Amino acid sequence: MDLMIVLKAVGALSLIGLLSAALLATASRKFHVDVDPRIEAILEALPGSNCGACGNPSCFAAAEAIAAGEKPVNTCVAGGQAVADAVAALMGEGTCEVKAVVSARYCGGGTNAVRAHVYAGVRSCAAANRLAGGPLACIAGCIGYGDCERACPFDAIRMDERGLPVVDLKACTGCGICVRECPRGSISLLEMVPETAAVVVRCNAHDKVKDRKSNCSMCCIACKKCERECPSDAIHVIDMLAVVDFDKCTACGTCVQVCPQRCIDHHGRREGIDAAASDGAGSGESAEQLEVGA
Amino acid sequence: MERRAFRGGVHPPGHKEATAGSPVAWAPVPSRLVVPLSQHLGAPCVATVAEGDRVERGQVIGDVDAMVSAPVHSPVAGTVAEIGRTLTAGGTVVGAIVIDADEQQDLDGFVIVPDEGDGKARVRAAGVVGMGGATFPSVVKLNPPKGMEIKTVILNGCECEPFLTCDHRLMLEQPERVVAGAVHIRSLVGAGRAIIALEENKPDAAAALRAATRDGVEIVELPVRYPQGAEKQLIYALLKTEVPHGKLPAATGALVHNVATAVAIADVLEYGKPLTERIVTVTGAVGRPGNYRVLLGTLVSELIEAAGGLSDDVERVISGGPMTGMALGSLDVPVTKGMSGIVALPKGLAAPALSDDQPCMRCGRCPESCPMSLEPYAIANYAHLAMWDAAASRNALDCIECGVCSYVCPTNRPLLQLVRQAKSAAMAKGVKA
Repeated sequence: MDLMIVLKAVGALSLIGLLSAALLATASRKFHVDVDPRIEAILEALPGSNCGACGNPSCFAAAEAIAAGEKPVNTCVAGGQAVADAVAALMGEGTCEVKAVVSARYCGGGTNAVRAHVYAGVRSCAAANRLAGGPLACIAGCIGYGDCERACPFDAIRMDERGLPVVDLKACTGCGICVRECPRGSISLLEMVPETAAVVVRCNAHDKVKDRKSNCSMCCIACKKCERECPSDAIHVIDMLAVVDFDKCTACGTCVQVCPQRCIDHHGRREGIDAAASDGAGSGESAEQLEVGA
Repeated sequence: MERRAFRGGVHPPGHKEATAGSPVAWAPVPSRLVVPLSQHLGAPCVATVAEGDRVERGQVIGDVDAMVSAPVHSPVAGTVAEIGRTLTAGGTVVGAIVIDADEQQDLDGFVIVPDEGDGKARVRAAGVVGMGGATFPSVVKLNPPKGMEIKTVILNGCECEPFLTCDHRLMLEQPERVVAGAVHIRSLVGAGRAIIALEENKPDAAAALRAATRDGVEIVELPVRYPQGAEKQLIYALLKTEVPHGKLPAATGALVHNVATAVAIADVLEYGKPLTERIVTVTGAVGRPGNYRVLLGTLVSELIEAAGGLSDDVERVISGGPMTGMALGSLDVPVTKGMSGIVALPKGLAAPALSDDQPCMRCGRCPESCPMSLEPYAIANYAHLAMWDAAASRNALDCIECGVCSYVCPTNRPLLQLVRQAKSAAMAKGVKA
C-alpha cells in the first residue's frame, strides 16, 4: 500500500476543511447581524405559550417588538404583573402596573334559554350565529357550541352540562382570546372583568324586558331590587340591565341573595371561596357557599 | 354522452309538475301588510312616512341616499299603523312599516314613478332589485364599472331550482313583456345582443317567447342541469367565456338579469310602475299549489292560508328553492322582493337533518360536481380546523354557494356551511377574491 496516497488524501481533505473554515469565518464576520441580546432574555421571561393575545403572532415577535421599543413592557396580557416586572427590569424601566383581568360570562341561559329554531349544522357558535343569529330566541345568549373552549390557549374554559362556558379562574390569564372568538362579542357575552370582581350579572340582553322574559328564565328583568338593597351603591340598572361598579363593590353578596331571577352570581378569587367552584356552581347555589366561606 | 353546458352540476328531481300548469292568480289582499325596509342587498331604507299617515299604492315609503340600495313602495292604499321591526325570511330582524290596507283596493292603479329623462334613475326610483333571489339593486348592474363594455344582455329564465315555476309562468303568460324587458335593458346599457335563456324542460314557454320575440332578441334553450341559472355558469353556457377569478361578470361583456327583473324594468320604463308585487310559487304539501301574484309585505302564513293551508305531514317550509333557500323558523315573515317560492316539504322529501359533522370518506363527488371547479371537502376540512388562510388559498371566495357539494355528499357533511364560514373569514381578512 502506497503511503503517499493516504497522505495525499488526508492532506487534500484537511486543506478543504481549512479553506471552508476560513470562508465560514469571513462570512460570519461580513454578514454579521446585530441581535439585541435583550430579545433572548425577554423571550425567556415571557410565558412562551404563543397565545397571540398581545396581537403579535408569537412570543418571539412580542419580544422583538418590546426590545425595539415598539411595544410597552406590559405587552404580555397573559403574563400579568410578574412577567411585566421581569420584562421591565430587563428593559431597565421602572415597574409598570398591570390591571389583572379575568374572563367572565354574562349569560346564564344554557338550558334555561328558549330555543326558537332547530339548528342542525356545524357545531360551532360562529357558524350557528351566521344563520339568523343561532338557535336561541335570545339574540344575546350563549349559543353553547364551545368556540371559546376550543380557542382558549390555557385550557381555562370548559362547557358544563348546561351548555355554558365555565371559566377556571386559576388557569385564566386574562388574555381575552375567548372574548374575541365569541361571535356574540359585539354584545359582550364574555367580558374581561377586574381580577378582584366579586359578582357578575349573568345577562347581557338589551332587548325589551318582556321579550327577555319569554326568551329565558334567567334574564335580568330590571326590577332594581339589587340597586335598592346594595349597601355600597355598587350596582345600578342602566338601560334596563343591572351593571356592577367593580370599584365600589365590597363583595358582600347582598345582590346575589336578593335577585329574584338568580341572574347575579359570585365570581372571582375571593378569600375563603374556591374561585373555580364559585364560578362553576351556578347561580343560587354559590350564595350558600358564600355564607359558609365568609 | 350527456350534453353539458357547463362543468359539474347535478340533476335533482324537478317536482315542477304540481304548479307548472297553474296560471298566475292574485293572492288576496291582506288587511295588514308588513313591508320590510330592507328587501335588497345594501343599505337599508329609512321610513319616509310617519305613523298615522295615509299612503297610496306605489307611494315611496322608505328610501336612503346610498349607491347600493333600492327604495320601498307601499303595495296598497291604506294607513301606516306602525313603524316597527319584523323578522324576515332570512332570520334577521329589520325595520318595517306596517300598513292597514283599505277595504277597496284598485290593484291596476298606482302612483307613477316620475320620468326625468334618465331611464336608469327611474329603474332605481322604482325600487327594482334582482328578483331571482339575490335582490341586488338592478341599477347598480346597469352601470358597469368604467372600462367595461356590455356587449350581451342575458335574461335568465332557466329556473334550475326544483319546485319553482314562477319564471316559467311569467315567460309563458307574458312573453311580450319579457322580450320588452330584454329590448329595454339592451338599449339602457348599449349592448348589441340580447339573449333569453331557459332550460329545455319548458318547451311551451320557449315557443311562446319565440312567437313574441322581436328586434333580434334571441331565445336559447339549454340542457336541464342545476345550477344552469347561476350567473357564471349561464355566461359560460351561452358565450363559452369564463368570468375571470375575482372579476365581475361584466368583465366578459355580459350582463345577466332574471326574467322577472326584466319585466319589472319594462314596467317602470313603459308604465312608470314601481315594484310592489311579485309572483311567488307556493308548492309542496299545501292545499292548492300554484303561482300567486303577491303584494310585498303579505305574511307567508297568510299566503299559505290562501293556497289552502299546510298539510299535516309538513316537516319544513323553505323560502326560495330547496337548493339555495332558507328554512323558515317562523311563518309570520313578510314576502319580499327576492322571494321566488314557498316550498312546504313533507316528511321524506326534506333533506336529512345533520346531527353533527360527519367524516369525509374521500369519495370525490364534491370536487367532481362543483360547477366552480373547487375542492369543497378540502375547504371544509380547513374551515373545520379554523385554518382560514389555507381555506382561502383553495379559492373559497370563488364559491357561488349553489349547494351542489352538500347535495351530493353521501355522508351529509355540512360542506356549504363550512365553505361559507371560510368565505366570510377570508373576506374579513381582506383576501382579494
